[in-house]
Amino acid sequence: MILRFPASACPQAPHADDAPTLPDVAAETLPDSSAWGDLMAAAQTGHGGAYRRLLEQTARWLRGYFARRLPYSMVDDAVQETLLGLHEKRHTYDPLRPFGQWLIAIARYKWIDRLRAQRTAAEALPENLTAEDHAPSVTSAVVLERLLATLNPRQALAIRLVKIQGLSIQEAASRSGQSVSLIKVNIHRGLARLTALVRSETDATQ
Amino acid sequence: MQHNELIDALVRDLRPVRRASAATQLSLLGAIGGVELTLLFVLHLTRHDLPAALALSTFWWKCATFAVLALTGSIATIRSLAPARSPRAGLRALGTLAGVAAAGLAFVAYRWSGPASPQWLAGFGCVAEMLALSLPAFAVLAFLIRRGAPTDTVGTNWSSGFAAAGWGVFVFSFACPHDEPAFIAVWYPLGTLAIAAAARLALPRLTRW
Repeated sequence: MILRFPASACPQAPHADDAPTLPDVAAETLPDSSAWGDLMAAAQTGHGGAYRRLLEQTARWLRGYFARRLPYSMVDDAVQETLLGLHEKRHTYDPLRPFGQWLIAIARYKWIDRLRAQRTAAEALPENLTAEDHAPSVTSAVVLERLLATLNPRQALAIRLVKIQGLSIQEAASRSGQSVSLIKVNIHRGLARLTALVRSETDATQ
Repeated sequence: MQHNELIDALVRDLRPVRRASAATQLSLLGAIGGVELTLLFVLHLTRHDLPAALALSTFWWKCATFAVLALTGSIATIRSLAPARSPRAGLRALGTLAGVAAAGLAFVAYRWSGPASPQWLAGFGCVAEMLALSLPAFAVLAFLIRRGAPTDTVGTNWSSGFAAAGWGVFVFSFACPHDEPAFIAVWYPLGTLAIAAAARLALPRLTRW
């Protein structure tokens, strides 16, 4: 069953400094939010099958949600961020309240957070990046930071902790609050993305 | 299917969770305030003239105002820990409370027959004590916020700051020996705003998720 709310134009991206208000449920179409609520209630008790179905279905919906709000290159990361947020904060879902509102609120929060991070990353880059005495190391550090800024925050954090600061996977997991398996996933995907990015920039300059 | 790896990891990581309960969270805050107040009495840190102070309207104004502030701020904060909820209604209620409290204090001041001049130097010490007494409630609120999912982080930070201030100043009112309305009108709001502003500065790193 498709639940349709009163139609409105696609919402414009809010200014990144605006505090989020209540979710714009009226602008979204959620397929059978009550079924998803039941799946989440089951997942809260540890039901893995229900949780997998919920994640797969919400991932599909989230792709559409972020595709209307973000550049194509950012959609996958935004979906991942939201799924991670949904996972970490699943205990805040109240089965007596609509699942759709809960999901949209998380997705909107992650959307605005991503906009804020992108804007901060753009403002943080100075125009003069080099100094005469230590130009190569400064340039390398800045280039690395620029590359890491293109990742979602959790991937960047996992790579910084393990690959740059040299922590073990366990140490990185305890410091970041992510599980060991999530740290590994984030490092793998983050490095894959960085590799693809560097290759594409290399190809462009040749 | 995209995101398969992440979904696999999340399903592997799945554990049963206990749903957040507003009643439990509010009880926790109340318990912390109760423990603080009990310690105040047990350690004989209350004002030495407490029995006589019970007859003063300013004493009851302090207790009632900051008890309501603590409760209203706490409820606003706890409600905001669900992602689909905003603390703005609670913050508006706090604004209304401030107006009512000011009117009440003005009425008490009109009928006051004791000393009129505020003791300025003592006020700084009072603010410091208010800050110290608000720390346990602030710690509990920070813990609850960290576990929650606030989406209006600015509003949540402010409401939790006012809640912590309410708890701290409520307990402090049992130790504060000053009853002059002018003193209360200057130092109590200052202390409250200082605590709320400190929370606003300290909490953003905790409220992001």
